[in-house]
Amino acid sequence: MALTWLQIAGAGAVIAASTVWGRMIASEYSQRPRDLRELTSLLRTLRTDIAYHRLPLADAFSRVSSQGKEGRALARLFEAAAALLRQPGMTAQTAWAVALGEHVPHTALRAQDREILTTLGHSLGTVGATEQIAHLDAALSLLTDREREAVDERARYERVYQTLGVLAGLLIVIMLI
Amino acid sequence: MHTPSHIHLTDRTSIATGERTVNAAVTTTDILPGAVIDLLPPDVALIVRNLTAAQQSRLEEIRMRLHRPLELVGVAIARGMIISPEHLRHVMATVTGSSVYAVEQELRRGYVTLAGGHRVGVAGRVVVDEQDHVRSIRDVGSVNIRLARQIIGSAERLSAYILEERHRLLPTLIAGPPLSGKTTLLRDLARLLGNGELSSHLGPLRVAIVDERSEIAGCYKGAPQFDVGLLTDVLDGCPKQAGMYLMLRSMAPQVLMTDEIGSAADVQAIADVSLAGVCFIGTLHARTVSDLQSREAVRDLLRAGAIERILFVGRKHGPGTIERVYDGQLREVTAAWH
Repeated sequence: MALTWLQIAGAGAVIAASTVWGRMIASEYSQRPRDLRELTSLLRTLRTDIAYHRLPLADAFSRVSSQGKEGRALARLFEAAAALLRQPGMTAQTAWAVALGEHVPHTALRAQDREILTTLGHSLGTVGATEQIAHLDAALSLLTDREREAVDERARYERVYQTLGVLAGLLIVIMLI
Repeated sequence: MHTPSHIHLTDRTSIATGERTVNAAVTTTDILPGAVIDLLPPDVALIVRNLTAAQQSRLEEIRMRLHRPLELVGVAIARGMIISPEHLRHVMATVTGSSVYAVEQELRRGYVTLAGGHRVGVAGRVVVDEQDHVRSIRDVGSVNIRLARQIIGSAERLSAYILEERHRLLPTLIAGPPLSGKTTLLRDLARLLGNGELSSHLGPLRVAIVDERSEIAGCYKGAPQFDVGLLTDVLDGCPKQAGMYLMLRSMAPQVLMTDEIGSAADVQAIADVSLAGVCFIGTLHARTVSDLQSREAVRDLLRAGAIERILFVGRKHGPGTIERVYDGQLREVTAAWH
């Protein structure tokens, strides 16, 4: 049974599509640790600005955003929070929540990671320096744990999904032939 | 063809009206500082903006108390404007720049100083630590925005009381109840002394101000917001006692000024200042001579001979009225010369 050119092209397309699908899932696993690492390093900058310089949040957010990679969602998150905070009467909690809602979906962070950031928002700007730093440290240590988990998950699933994509494509092709 | 041009015309009118509104806002903020207007929630700001120019110049404090009407001290109580938690949250967010930790130190003392020397006092639920020291204030229930104003020339009449033989400046305390205009007088006195304008027999003097609460010079990022004189140096935000010694060492002043002295540590520093041959001028809270005598620190100060004039000021003819004058032995004196 000879395959027609059309069948070969179709099989190729199926395999290509499922490979891409596998790589997309795999890339989420590889992107999340990177985003978490960037986030913790940005929050550490924020912590320094609060602990040693006592910078008001709007200024601190601006500085943090300039430390981030330009154009990346996390840098834009802090940029947006800073801009919102400069509106008269805006509380830090609201500005932070709005900025999170706008920019976190463009990252590989999951709902559980976002939860940590939302909780951090409840304390932002409403407590003294010692407590503020304690809240930041708590968020940082949770996020560091998440990062470690994410690295493990990447090691476990990144290759799996990449291979799975190719194999699933092959399976479909074999079943259809 | 006609309709669009008509619409265009309406547009232009509305733009013109818009411009008028903007201009009106600019004129009022000339009387009332923008730094204060910008703090207020929009509806409260509107009430304050709508005051007449005369009312605005009389306005001394804007007080907001939870669930009670807005009080415009010096003008009226705005009974229609009941302060909600939302109002107070707005003010606290703008006052602290949404960052309590940044003004924590100031909040512990009960107030925050703004650009322009205005002072925002706060009352509410106080959090204390194990040693009963105030750690912070949360659940804010009252906010008092006190406007700082410079009244140029208000201290000129002091020259009749605080100069000896027209050219020796006497160490002086300006005493009075809150809102009696003590700080305003002190500020103008710094300007007159630093410019050499208090008396024709007295050249410009090097004045050092230890401005613990940023009220006298109203420094914002190092620059005095008020005119405090040509030869005047300001140490901003520094505790008084440490600041007085610091200024003695670093600026070799001829006159040293601080606001609201009271503690024994202040008195010790003032005594040392006068031993160093520097003329001290300060303010303190006291209504009468017996108020002074009841305070041990002040008694010590007088005993040390570090003060030679005490001016009691009040509001009899507006803030800053000089009501009584005493010498260092608490004997009443009349104007030394006219």
